Amino acid sequence: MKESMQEAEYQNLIETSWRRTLSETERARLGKFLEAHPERQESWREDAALNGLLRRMPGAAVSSNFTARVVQAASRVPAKPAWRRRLEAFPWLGGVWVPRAALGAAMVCCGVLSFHGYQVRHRAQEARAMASVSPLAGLASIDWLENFDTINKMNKVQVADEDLLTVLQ
Amino acid sequence: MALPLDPDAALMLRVKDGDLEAFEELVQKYKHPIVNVIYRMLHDLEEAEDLAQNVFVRVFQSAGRYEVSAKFSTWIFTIARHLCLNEIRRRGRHPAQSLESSQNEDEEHAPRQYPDEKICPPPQAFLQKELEQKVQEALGELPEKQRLAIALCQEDELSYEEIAKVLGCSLSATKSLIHRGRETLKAKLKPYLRSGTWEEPETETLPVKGCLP
Repeated sequence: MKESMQEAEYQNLIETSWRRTLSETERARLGKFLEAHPERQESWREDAALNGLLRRMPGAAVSSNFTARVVQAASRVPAKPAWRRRLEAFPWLGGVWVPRAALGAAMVCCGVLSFHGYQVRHRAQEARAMASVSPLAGLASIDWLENFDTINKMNKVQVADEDLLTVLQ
Repeated sequence: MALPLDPDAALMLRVKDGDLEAFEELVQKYKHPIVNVIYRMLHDLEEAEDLAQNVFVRVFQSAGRYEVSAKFSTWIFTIARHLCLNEIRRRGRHPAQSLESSQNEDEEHAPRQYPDEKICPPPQAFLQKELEQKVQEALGELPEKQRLAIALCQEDELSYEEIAKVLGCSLSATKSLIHRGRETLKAKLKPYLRSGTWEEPETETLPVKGCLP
């Protein structure tokens, strides 16, 4: 438990050393930890040397007229039109989701419209096909049904033909 | 009880009303850290200044959208990060020919110049220059996110939590990015870290026997 606490504290100190020079107290704590863990000394040595390298890197020299240039550039920015300023009173309207939602809604509308168009075209095509076939498929003449009942009964054999079955066997 | 307003946020509220003086104060305060971070990313001072100018103009333009709940430093560094990454992508798409390389080509045809043996630069300054170059090269070879994380880590304005917000990742992911970046840097700069060519800052010396050279 104590060991893991020390480890966490060491990690914390290392992370602090990446950002700034350690204070006297922090260095004393780190020194104590390193005394107990000599295997970490090499790693700390490299870390400290890298901290030194990074801290000694010269910062970018900003030109003396930079602020004036920026303020001048900002003052040249054209004033926003009144509608835009009014719109800014409703920040949620300027959110990222608004254009996304609009795009989504437009895509759904396009989908619905194209499906509807497809259905209309499909029905029209079916209607045209039926119209082209319908003259050939006229109703049969009533005279054809004259012997319907007789023919229908011919198929229905009521009793098995025993003689025929015997001959066949 | 209401929390006291962050001084930068108070300035931003004035900028919202079009106050250029407040804007100037903000530029004055943040110009060095912003130019520094962009310079670490692009390694081109002129480009860094131009981009930093764009960052501040963008801040001025978007002042209306600034919410006091957000910390100003996090907000401005996030804008800087976006513009930086856009610039890196733009460079990737349209790589510009380096002026140095064309200069080198010209130099090949130019009459050769020899250094004056009597006038030598001071060795310490020369070594420091070389080391700076090596560190900058090693930083330049890091992946963009690791480079940005390390550059932000060097800025006093931001805590680890704020760096995480700027990078858009969790705190542990941010620390891991910095750690991995530093490990790569250590591997690349190992000879310089060991040789002691660049002496370590005295403040880092620890009272442990044999801990530091």
